[in-house]
Amino acid sequence: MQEKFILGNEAVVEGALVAGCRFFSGYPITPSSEIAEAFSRELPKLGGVFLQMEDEIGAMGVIVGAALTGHKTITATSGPGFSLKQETLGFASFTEIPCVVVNVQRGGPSTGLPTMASQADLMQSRWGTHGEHPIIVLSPSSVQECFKYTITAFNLAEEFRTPVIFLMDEIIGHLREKVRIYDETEVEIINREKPQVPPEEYTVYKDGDKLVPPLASYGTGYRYHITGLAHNRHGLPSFSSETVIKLSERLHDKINKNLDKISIYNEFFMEDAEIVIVAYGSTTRSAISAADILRKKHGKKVGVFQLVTVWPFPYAKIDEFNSMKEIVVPEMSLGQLRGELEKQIINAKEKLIGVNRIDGYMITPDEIIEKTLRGVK
Amino acid sequence: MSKQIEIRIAGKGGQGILTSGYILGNAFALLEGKNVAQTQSYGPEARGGASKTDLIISDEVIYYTKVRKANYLILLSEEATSRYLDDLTSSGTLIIDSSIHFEPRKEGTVFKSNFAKIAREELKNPIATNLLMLGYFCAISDLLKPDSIKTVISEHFRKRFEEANLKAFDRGFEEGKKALKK
Repeated sequence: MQEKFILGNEAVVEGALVAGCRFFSGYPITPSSEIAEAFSRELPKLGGVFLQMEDEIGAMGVIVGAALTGHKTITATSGPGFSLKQETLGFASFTEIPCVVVNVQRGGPSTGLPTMASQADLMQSRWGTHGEHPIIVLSPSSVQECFKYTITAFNLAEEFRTPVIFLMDEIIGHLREKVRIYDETEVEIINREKPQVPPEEYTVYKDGDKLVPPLASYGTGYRYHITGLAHNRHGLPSFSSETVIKLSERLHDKINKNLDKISIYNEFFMEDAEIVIVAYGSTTRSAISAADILRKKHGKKVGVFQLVTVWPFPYAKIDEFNSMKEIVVPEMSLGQLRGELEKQIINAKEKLIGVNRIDGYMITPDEIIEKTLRGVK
Repeated sequence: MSKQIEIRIAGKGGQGILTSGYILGNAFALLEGKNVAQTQSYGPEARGGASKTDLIISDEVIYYTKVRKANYLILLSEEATSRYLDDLTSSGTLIIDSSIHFEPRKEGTVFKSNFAKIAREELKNPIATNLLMLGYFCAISDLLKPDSIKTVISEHFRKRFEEANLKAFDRGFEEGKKALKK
């Protein structure tokens, strides 16, 4: 273990390297550029590949292709680039190719507020690509979490053969903190399952009843086909109802039946809480500050629920909050997270309190305190 | 240091504001064993735009990362002064370049020094204004050992600039000590 004083963006790179990632492709964009910079510095030393492409679309294609050769791969971008990656992200999801896509959110839409923060890509991270697809999205709230959960992102990508989105925001990307960097012997590292059968028996999308079939690396003697069309167990196009339905069910089941491994959250002061603040990313920090002050100065029993895994959404956990007097949802958007809570909270209009900010600045503890004390009005 | 200390350094792009925040934060975090949250804001321009860095220093876990009311406010440009002067606590310490005009404060402590002028005319090293300022802050605040900052300065910059950089820091430290005696 060694301590460093680094940016959240740099901690992502540290985490990726410990996870075994040796392949980055991207196109630098504020506020994610330090991720590309740090990879360009570190990967050549380790015999890895840093490839700056002509644009974000090309970079996304590159990390998907490289992942099929056995590499753990990553790209990093912000809003405008994240939009460009969506088509290939859907391809990676449907063809079950593990990779990690970092989006350091900045103010949008369009070129928006390049150097300022936002959390308005929450829904894009879930539904940005077309069609119904499962996705895993993690969001860190500190530099230490950037390191820790980047490793988790790779582990989940490898274990479930899926792209994982690492949804940061400018505040965490550009925050410097002291971080403990552990080496690969001190953390859990998961690698994708490789086929146990000889090449002639291998099918890329079926291995008995396994929800996640093993993925052979291209160039190792295993021949198979990959297509964005609906496909059968060999990866060849097939539009039969049975094949299409089975494929879609398995893709969703592999995520939804493993929520115990995928769904990560942190709780603060929740033991006796009557009011809960639900937050993710940098906003979690303002929420904890606010809860602390609301308890000490105002005698309010306030807890904080931090979503680390924002997608799949923890509906079952959110359901428990129906017993709360108030549910406060601070976010740097007009209410994307609150909208998701509305699906699960009975009488949502009488319980949910939004604290919203869209001008690129971090939500302050005072703003959360004020709205919490005012209640639903 | 029992409570949380909030420091804001602001000026314009090209003055090394963000670098000074990094050096100070690094010294507090890795050499003084404190928890530190350092953030920055800057415009899309490379030079000339407003530039600001916030540091929260604490023995406890730090949650909210931005300065609410600064215990120390260091200002190196007119624009930064008009924008951030009110962000100081009433008892806080203002450190400001002598060339800047501002409304005198009723409370708190004010230290004025010719950072830019000393760096430019005496040291012939205008880009070291930020290090001069760090030396001055170190002496005035007495929050950390000068050697902690000097260690980071030596590690951060190229070796051929080390002597000039440390000289700028020491010159600032000396000015700070002088100011305290007044």
